[in-house]
Amino acid sequence: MSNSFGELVLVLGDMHMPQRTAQIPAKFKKMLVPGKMQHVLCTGNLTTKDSMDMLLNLAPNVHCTRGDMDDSTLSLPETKVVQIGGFKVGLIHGHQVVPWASTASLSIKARSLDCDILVSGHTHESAIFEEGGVWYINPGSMTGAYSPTTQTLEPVQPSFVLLAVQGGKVVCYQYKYNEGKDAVEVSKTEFEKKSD
Amino acid sequence: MASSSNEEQLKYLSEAQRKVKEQAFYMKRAIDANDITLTLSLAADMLRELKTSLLTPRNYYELYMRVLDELRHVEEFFMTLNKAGSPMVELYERVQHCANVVPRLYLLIAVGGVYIKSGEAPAKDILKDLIEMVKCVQYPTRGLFLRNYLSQTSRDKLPDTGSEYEGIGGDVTDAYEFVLENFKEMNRLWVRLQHMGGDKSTRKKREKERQDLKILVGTNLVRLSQLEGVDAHTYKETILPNILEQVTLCKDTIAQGYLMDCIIQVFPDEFHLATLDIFLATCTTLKEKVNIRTILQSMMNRLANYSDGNADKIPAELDAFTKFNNCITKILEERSNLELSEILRLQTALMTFALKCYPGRLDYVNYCLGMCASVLSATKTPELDENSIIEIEELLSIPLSSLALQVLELKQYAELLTYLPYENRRQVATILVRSTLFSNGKLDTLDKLDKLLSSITPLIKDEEKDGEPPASDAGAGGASDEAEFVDEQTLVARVIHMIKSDDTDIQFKLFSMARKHFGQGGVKRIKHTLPCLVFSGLRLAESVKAREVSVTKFASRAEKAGKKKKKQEEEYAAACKAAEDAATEEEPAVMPPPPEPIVIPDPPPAPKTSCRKVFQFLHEIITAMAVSYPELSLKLFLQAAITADKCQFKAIAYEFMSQAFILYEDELTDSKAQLQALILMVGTLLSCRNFESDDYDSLITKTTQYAAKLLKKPDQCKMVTLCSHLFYAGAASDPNHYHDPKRVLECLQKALKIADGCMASSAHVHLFVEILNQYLYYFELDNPAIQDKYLSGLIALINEHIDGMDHNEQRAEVEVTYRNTLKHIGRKKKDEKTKLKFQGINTGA
Repeated sequence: MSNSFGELVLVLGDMHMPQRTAQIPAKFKKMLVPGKMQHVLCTGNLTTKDSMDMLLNLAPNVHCTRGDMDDSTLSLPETKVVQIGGFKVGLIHGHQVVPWASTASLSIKARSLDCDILVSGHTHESAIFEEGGVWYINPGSMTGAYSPTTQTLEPVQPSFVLLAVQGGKVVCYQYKYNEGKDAVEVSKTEFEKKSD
Repeated sequence: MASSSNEEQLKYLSEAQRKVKEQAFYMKRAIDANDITLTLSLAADMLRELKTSLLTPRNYYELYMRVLDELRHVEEFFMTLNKAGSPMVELYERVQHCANVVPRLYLLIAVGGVYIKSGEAPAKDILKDLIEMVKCVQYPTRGLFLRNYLSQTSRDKLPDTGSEYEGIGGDVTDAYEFVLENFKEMNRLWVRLQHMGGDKSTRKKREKERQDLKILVGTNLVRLSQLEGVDAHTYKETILPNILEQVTLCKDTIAQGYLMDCIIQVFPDEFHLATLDIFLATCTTLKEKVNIRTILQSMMNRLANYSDGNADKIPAELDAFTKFNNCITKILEERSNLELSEILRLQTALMTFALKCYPGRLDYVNYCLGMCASVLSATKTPELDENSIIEIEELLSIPLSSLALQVLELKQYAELLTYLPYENRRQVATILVRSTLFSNGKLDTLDKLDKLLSSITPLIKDEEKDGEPPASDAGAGGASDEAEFVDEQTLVARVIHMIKSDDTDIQFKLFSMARKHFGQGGVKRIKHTLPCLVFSGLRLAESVKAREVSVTKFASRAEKAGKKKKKQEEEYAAACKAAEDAATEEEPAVMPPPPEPIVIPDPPPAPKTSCRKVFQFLHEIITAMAVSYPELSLKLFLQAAITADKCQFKAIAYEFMSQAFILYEDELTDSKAQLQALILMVGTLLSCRNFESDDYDSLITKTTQYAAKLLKKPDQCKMVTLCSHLFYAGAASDPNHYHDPKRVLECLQKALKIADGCMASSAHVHLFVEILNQYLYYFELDNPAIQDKYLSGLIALINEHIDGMDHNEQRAEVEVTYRNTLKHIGRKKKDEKTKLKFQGINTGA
């Protein structure tokens, strides 16, 4: 099923519907076409079965971890490790890693999950960076759900990440929705697996 | 006529068919022998079977079809003769000598067709002759089929505009006059069939027979609609008036209903638009038993589909809505026996028409709703029949897809809702919410919100039964199963996110109103709705804070500007005085030019609802949920604490925090829930950076105590390790940082001790490795209490214990984490920047 982009991996999380927000921005929804992606990695906080069903519709492989607001009825694991292309990808919601968003604490998690890429959420702030040979990806909140932990008093920007994995290479597309302009902004990061 | 049993019918039919077959056989032999006389005589014999009055219309039709099949051979024979040069006029004369009427007329039509084709005489003359001749047959079934044969044969021989027979053969007027004449006569015959004697029991049978035959009459209207030369004008001036005249004159229920429907179906939309007045005028004169509702409804549907949402497709000056409405009003006045559900259905049809043809005209929709409301209020019966209920539900659901929230502006909408039973109201409410969400509706005024929430009451609370208090404590009602209930409440919860006012004061009022409504939902509902209100409220608190900050900032700017202005005024006054003083009688004072005035702008309005008040509101909501949902409420209190801290309300943040702690102590008994709550409490405390240090001390002491009291040892160990963070919060550069290096070390040492006690479950090595990583964390942060010797010691300890582990998955996992940790240390030892610091750690390698 892979195309010239390699395997497409949708990385998203923290939808918090309907608790914190009503819906995914229409511009994002249009991009979620079933059958285009091979994997969905969701950090958690769906928080309903409805959202889960939506993800299951998108791709054959859907992996999801438990967010702090997820009900036990969804019975999600705390962490997950998935092999995609040449990469071992670790997945965790992130509220368990304190202080929240601390790179040093996340790196401990990466060591214990033994992964090349660690995907985590919880902060509702999208980020992609490398530290000590591991890539850290935070897709932010798909819906721009409210979070008290953001730095400003401004509303959260909806965001998600799309990975195109080809063997030992990854292209990360970071999507952000600008509500004022009603436009989707994309930025691109590329990296390769380090051989140690 | 036929009043025989089924068996007899079949017998008659097969006997007649047998005879037809036999005659046809000889007839075809005569044709082969080119014997005209014999052919005509045998054909007449065959056609004589159609004289029968024994068969029911359905069986007569069977026979007719059979005969017509055979008659084709005769028609072809005539064609051949014509081609061979025999003039048709002769044959036309000759067949008239046939003694029997029915066979004679069939043969005459058959020849007539070829005669027209031959061009020997003008088509119009032959057609006129034929239509005159067929008048002889007045027996309904025989006459109808004979005329149907005429209609079929003449179909492609009419002198229509553009046809080969136009010109000398006549024009479109001759064509439609011929068809109209045939239609009139056929309709008359068809209606007469009803009155062919018989008592009441045969009436039903007759009606059934007539239903079977109606298509024969309707075919004439199809022919008329197919005439190229008939335009809207001719249709309006001649065709339709003629048809409608027959409709009115026949005074027959079946004919009226059928023909009106036929007219709607067969003629084009433009024709209908041109003739709406006369069509509707006829509608009001129809017999009482004709279902006028279906007629009007199909006409309105037809035009609505034509308009397809384009307001300009139906000319405004036509004022179709008023025309339909007048017609309906007149019918309602004149027909007192109309059932309630039929009246409602009529109004629904009119409203649907208005919505499709006049998208912007809310007044039309409102008018229809109003009509229904007044009809319903005039009905004295307390219980509505099922059809009427379904109809009201339909009536209220239809406008939602296009109007969504706008329906709330319709005065009668809410009133009509009250006529529905709870369950139906719930259905309408669900559609209302869905379409509002779909249309991105915005609830920005108290009036709108109140109207919406009142309209969707069945989704918000249980039904209030007379004399009983609302079952707010159980509060399950409405939805039939759990999944449906959750879906429904998820939908309702989304309503809260449609509350969007730019003014924080109004937003707060809106939330307060929502709080009142949703608070009545009962335990099962509030779980879904109130958390939404909490998060929306937290967001609002931040907006109010932002507003307060901007007011404060403005005030200080205004103060500065004020001072500057005062100084400027003083300087100017001094300069003026100096100029005056310097003036002499010879040289009058030269005043300095006035400076550019400093304008102090109006301050931005301060929020009436303070941030503090929003937090009070949230405190009250979360407290209300706490008894039933302690875990959820604990999480909400923690979130609220972070927001309060972010907004610089230390005391409020502390209050939220302590409420969470109380819930932890009083309500959380499940060890898994305790563990999850503690993790969030640690994370939350680390996120709040503004607590008074005494407050912070007591909170982290408590948290560490909770951690040490967890039931399972490995949980204890993990949580005590996690709690070490509480004593090393914030970066050194953060003015509010809290660093107690020794307490960090104590936590880790205590964790090691607990881990040591987990040896039986051999979880200890894994815990050791986790703690090692934590040591490393503080070591990297330059926590002075964490020295390299501790790390070296711990590594030695792990090396010792890891060898004792069984070779299993658990060991493999620990080894991987451990290897990664050592690799990490190894990297730090190589890195120029960290080399010196890390060299003292002995990894045993």
